[in-house]
Amino acid sequence: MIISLTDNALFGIVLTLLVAYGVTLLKRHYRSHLLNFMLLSIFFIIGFLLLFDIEYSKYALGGELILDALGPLTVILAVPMYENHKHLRYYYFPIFAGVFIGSFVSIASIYILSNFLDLNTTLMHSFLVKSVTTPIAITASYMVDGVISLGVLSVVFSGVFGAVIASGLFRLFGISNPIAKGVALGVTSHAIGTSRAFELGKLEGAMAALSIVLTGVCTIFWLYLFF
Amino acid sequence: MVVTVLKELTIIFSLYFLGKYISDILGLKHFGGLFGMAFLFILLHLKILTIKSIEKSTRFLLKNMAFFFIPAGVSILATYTLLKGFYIQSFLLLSVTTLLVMLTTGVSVSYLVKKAIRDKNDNITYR
Repeated sequence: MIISLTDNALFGIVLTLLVAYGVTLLKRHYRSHLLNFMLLSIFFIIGFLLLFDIEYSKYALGGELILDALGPLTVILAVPMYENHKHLRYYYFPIFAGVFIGSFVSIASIYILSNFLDLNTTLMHSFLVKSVTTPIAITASYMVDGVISLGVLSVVFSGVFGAVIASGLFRLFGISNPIAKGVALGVTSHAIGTSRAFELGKLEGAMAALSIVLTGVCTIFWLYLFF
Repeated sequence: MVVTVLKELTIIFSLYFLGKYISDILGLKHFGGLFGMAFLFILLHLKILTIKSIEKSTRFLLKNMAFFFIPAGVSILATYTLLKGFYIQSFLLLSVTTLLVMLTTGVSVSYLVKKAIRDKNDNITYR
């Protein structure tokens, strides 16, 4: 009896591990913001599946097992939030207000621009989660009936794009305050923005790390209110 | 080492378990992780738990978080047809809104921090 290698759930797990490991090695060689770990891994796995003509459903057997880590990963997001919340004490109003405004602008601008660009509701709902860190974005995606894969891709896009434009944008509009820079990066570009913020400075990084979870919770609040 | 990680994972998964149970009771599907996060934050804040008591597994998981979401991105293989005819619009939408969010957040926080510092100084002068 011939048993296909891809009928095993371990196929998806091993392929993901292998590609992720390879991408880590690649990233160590070429340090650049444009080389996003998640984006490259997704790209290589899709390439592999297409090249060997393997059905997505075969990969999903293992892929879905990996995705089940979503819950515990969301739980531990409390740690960076707790570690950085002492910074909140002095500027809690500006930070909260910034997160509140930023997450609202994100949702409102997507809603308005989608109508303007004639995007259908499915796409609009999927993209609503784009500024939220991936584990919370998946929860939010379930909430608004978005397509999770599109949501995740929009999250990665916001992360990479935001990290790339940040310095230029801050210079152009005279945003020089480290707290403002950090919160702006965290609200817009979640974890990817935070690693960029840590390159700008320690306070910037702490602010961004704090903003990630606040943005997630705030976006959930807005989505609950409007959708 | 092994005992430490087992203890840490017990804490994390118990909180998730509790969060999931409560979210199911409240009829909020998929919110288990968020409730668990809130519980962990409260326990840390009340100093019932310390960062150190979950440090090893947390560091590992936070550092490698992106790995766990790769399959969610790969699932675009099953859904990319939805994007057909909307590639340029989607790209435009995502870039413009990203720019807008960063700008409004940066400018408003900038303004509010300046105002907070000014107010604090005013209080000192008038006292």
